Amino acid sequence: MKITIFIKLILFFVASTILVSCVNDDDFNVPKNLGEQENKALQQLLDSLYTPNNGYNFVSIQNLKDRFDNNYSKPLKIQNNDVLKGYVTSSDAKGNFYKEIFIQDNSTAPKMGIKIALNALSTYNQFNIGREVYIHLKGLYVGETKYRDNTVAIGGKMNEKGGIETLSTKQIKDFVFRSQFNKTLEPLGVRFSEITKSHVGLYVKFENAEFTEDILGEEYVNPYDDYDSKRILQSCEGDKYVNFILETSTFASFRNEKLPQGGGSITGIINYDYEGENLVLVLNSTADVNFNTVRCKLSE
Amino acid sequence: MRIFFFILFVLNTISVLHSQTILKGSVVDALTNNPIQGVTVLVEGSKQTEKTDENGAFLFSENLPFGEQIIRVEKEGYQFKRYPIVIEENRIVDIERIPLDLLVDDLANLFTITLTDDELNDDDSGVDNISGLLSSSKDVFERTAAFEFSSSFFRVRGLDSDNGLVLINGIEMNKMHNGRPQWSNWGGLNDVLRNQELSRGLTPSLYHFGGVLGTTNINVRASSYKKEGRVTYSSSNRSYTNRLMVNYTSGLLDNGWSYAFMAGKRWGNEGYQDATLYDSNSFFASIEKKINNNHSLNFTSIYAPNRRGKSSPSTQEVFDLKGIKYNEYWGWQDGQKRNARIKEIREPIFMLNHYWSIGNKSSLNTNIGYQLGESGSSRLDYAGGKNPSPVYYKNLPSYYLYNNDYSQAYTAEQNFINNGQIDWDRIYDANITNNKLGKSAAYVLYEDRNDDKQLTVNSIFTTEINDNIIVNSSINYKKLESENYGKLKDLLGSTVGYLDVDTFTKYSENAPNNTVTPNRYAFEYERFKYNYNVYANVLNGYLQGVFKYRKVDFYIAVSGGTTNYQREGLYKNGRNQDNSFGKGDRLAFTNFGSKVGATYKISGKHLIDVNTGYMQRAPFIRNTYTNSRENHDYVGVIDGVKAPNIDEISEELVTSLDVSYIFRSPIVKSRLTGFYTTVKNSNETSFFFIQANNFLGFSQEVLVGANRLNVGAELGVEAQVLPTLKLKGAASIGQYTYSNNPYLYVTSSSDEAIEDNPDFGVAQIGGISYLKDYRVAAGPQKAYSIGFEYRDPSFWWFGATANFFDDIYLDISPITRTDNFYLDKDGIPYNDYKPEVARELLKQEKFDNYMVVNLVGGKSWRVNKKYIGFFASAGNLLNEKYKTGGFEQGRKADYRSLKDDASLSKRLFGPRYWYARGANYFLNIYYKF
Repeated sequence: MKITIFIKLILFFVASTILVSCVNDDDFNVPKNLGEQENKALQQLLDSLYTPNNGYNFVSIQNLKDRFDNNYSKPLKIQNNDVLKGYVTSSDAKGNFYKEIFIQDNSTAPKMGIKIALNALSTYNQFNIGREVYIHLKGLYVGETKYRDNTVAIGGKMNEKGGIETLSTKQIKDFVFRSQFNKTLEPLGVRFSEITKSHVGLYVKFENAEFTEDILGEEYVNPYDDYDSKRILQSCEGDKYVNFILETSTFASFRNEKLPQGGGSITGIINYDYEGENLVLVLNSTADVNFNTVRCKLSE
Repeated sequence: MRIFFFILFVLNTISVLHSQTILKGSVVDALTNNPIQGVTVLVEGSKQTEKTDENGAFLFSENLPFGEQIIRVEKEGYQFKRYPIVIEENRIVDIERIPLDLLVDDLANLFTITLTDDELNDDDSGVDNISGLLSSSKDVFERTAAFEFSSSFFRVRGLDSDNGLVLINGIEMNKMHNGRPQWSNWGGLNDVLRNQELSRGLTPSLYHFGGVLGTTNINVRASSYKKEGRVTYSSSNRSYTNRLMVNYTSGLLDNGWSYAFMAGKRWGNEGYQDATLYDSNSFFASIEKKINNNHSLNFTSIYAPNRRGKSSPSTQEVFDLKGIKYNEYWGWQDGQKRNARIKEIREPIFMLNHYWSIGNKSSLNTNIGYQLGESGSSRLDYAGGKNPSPVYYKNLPSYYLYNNDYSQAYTAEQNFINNGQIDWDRIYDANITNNKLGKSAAYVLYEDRNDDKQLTVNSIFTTEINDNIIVNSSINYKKLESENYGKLKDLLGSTVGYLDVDTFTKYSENAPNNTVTPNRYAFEYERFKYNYNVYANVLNGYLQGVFKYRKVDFYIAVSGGTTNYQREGLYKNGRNQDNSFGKGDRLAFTNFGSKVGATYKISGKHLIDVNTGYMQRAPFIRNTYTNSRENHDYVGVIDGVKAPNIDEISEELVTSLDVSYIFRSPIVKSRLTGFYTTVKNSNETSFFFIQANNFLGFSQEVLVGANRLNVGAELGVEAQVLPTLKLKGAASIGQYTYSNNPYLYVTSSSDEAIEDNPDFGVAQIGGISYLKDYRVAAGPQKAYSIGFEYRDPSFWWFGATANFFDDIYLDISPITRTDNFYLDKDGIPYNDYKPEVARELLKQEKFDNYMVVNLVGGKSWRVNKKYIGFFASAGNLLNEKYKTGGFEQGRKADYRSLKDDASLSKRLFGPRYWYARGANYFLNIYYKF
């Protein structure tokens, strides 16, 4: 009967389709070689560093800043195989940093930090807070992203305005390497009155801080500001208040959150404001604001 | 030449007065002219059958039905034929020398395989075609439209396929969501879907009132197939690379049972466009039991799971850099091309049909159909990362050129040329990095799911009142339960999960997609983002009388019914907390239709055919709800409140008139039709990101009460100049325009939009959209085809056509045609506004005309009464590059920003286009037993 022929055909059909069926299915897993290239490149860099007398050297952030100062605070290109190592302190997860990350020299008790200007968005999911990074500086620039903004940074090229530009996508890939290490950053405990230029880029924590009374009830960003909003923090140091500025980008996702009324600790990154005039504190996220205890009292 | 005269002779049947009613004639082989013995001649609709004798002659002398009848002439190995004849009392009808063609293979079906299968009706394109609907037509124009024009997204009369109805065994297959038939539900089953009855345009169907484009009933009754088996293998570079199909049909067995089975597989890693994978299996089974002479019961199941990778429309800049095969939706992962946008449909159909012949004159056909399953389209979500699209405007050279940064523009260009695909590694790396800090997945792959359960019950009654009058009627009930939700498909390396909030929302209390579980992390295979049901009930009936007389045939039909929709929100959306959860308004619509038409036979050669109809139909679900993922709103209701200046949602009104002149001679068959169709009061909802003077954000644009006017003419001519050679030509010249200035409004739950526009929607950005006389983007409005088919007596054949297309227009963005376009924030025109510049900016883009040449040919062999055959077709042989469609990006919606963008040498937000395939092929081999 024909039916049996048909059944044979079906079997043949099933068998042949199993054999030839090679369409990509949906079953994708984490790519096998993920990060391999970066690890290899980093390993190569580290090998070069630990091979004596071949011109590869670790440099300190201080060293880079000194070079900039000695160059009459003009951008300069780094000619040697210098390598900088640091730990990421900033995060653009909430949109408060834009095309930049800050790194500091140590995960605990840091001495100095520096900005790295990157042509990249959502860097938080690549250069996460606490991540150990190595930057191969040869061919990169040290300078300010905006002329006289007072924040020394590493960039990818020089511009005519006396500043430096961000590292291009390819420069990031070729010169900035992440190691496998993620450290938990211990914020540097400081007081408002102690903050100096040397704290720029560091992850710092202030205790007994609060927002000034006149702005309580307002939001992190003043709706009339175009780019950045400044909110004044204060802290009781003895019998007087010491003020400090919290600067928040109008693009930060927490821009409309209300300023907390209480007092407590606040943790963030020290930077210069946009104009390069004042030192300010910049938040990674409002989770770092713990103003849930009473406001501080001045000593009598 | 002799053969030629015989054909001519045959078609004019001879009718002689006689004392007895007699039908007689003879059958010959079309090529050899020898009489054929054993041919079955059947008067359709009666039980009268005769076989030809050794001289090829047949004779009926008893119980002949009178009036217009169709005789069917068939013999295995030959292509069957049907002839309309008129049997009158006491007359002899003599049909001498009916030519039968040896079955090389049915040319028509071969063409069908190449196109309906191709799934040109890509829902992404917004352009739809009806090749599947028309492919069974015998009309040369419609066949040309189906097989030659469809790859250019030509639409018959400029109408969407929701105006054509597809039935399988009398059960309506058009989806309630968008009114269109979902061809892929039965794709890859060509061999068992060949019994199609098409009623063109408004002409009466035996099954349904139908749509203005026509009604096709696909008959899949097991007993309708003859005993046959077939294995087919195909290879192509169009959508799939390989296809294997097997079918066996038993015919009616002695014990009253019939079986039909088919299985098919179509697959390929890449179609014409990059990374457009194709993976489909098809199964079909139909079993029928003839209980007695009056009752038959048939059960059919169809299951065609289908998975395909989509391809993207692109801007001119992207095409210039990457070519027409470029697809932005994929990237490399572990050495494989992974496409982020996969469309997957698994919707099996089950049906039970009861056929009851009530006496000789009536029949009642009762059907129950049930379809359930899932349909999903995947895409990447990047709530915590940068836009992964390689063509995101900041990745392209145009963005840097705009900023006068030439070196970056060069870098971007090189980067796009060399990479220019999704970077899956970076996506995984981002999620794994986020795992380290316990952060929500930056990227996930998810599916927009639509899981339907639909029950259809209907009864179709047909009765012959007398020889001249047939009455058809049916009653139809449909019930749909549609679950719609976002489904997380792949966490892409994240172990933390996906925090189910809208990250663009400013106020954290509004952010959760479901405020009932505000801080929920979603994991793979879970529902998230949105979750709602739509319930629909449709009850319809129709009544139709078909009258056939010697000089004139006419019909009249009416239909009526109701449609109800209701949305039920299962999530309490953070941006729409009072307007999203639970059941929304129950919407009720009234359907009504009436049509009438007549064919006047001036003589056997010259006929005039006129049809006109009016239909009032419920808007489809898609055109009813304006933002169903987030809230209960429907057209005219904003944020749960009826908008005072917008008309309440109501039915769409379709009016159609066509007049045809038909000429039929033994050599030439032709039809010339003029048509006039209006579709009024239709709504359109679209979703996109708008950046206008006073508005920014992801928005829903709702066009209310748009009218369209489609007028034009169609011509089809075919001439059998030699028994072996047929010349054919077709043309469609139309003008499809908007015929009013509808109301348009934009809604958004984006905080940005709400804040800047407190009484947003109606007051700020609603208004008249000046669309009148703009062309509707409905494919080429002018199309011409000329070609031939040659069939050699020694079993090979080939054909070629040249097709020319013109008047193809870009889909315009209605929002730029509102007053909002030139008004500044303060409500007065921009100070630099120049009407003549605006006119230039808003001029509708017309694409270049083009010509496409298609070739097809084949051969078959008869081996031991079995057939082996192949055919091959080459599409777009000259490799012409042409745009089939496109749309303006609504993103730059005001005068200044559009002018800014349009003045660039490379636009940032220029229109996105679809290009047709270049030269492509299709190869088919089969074995039939």
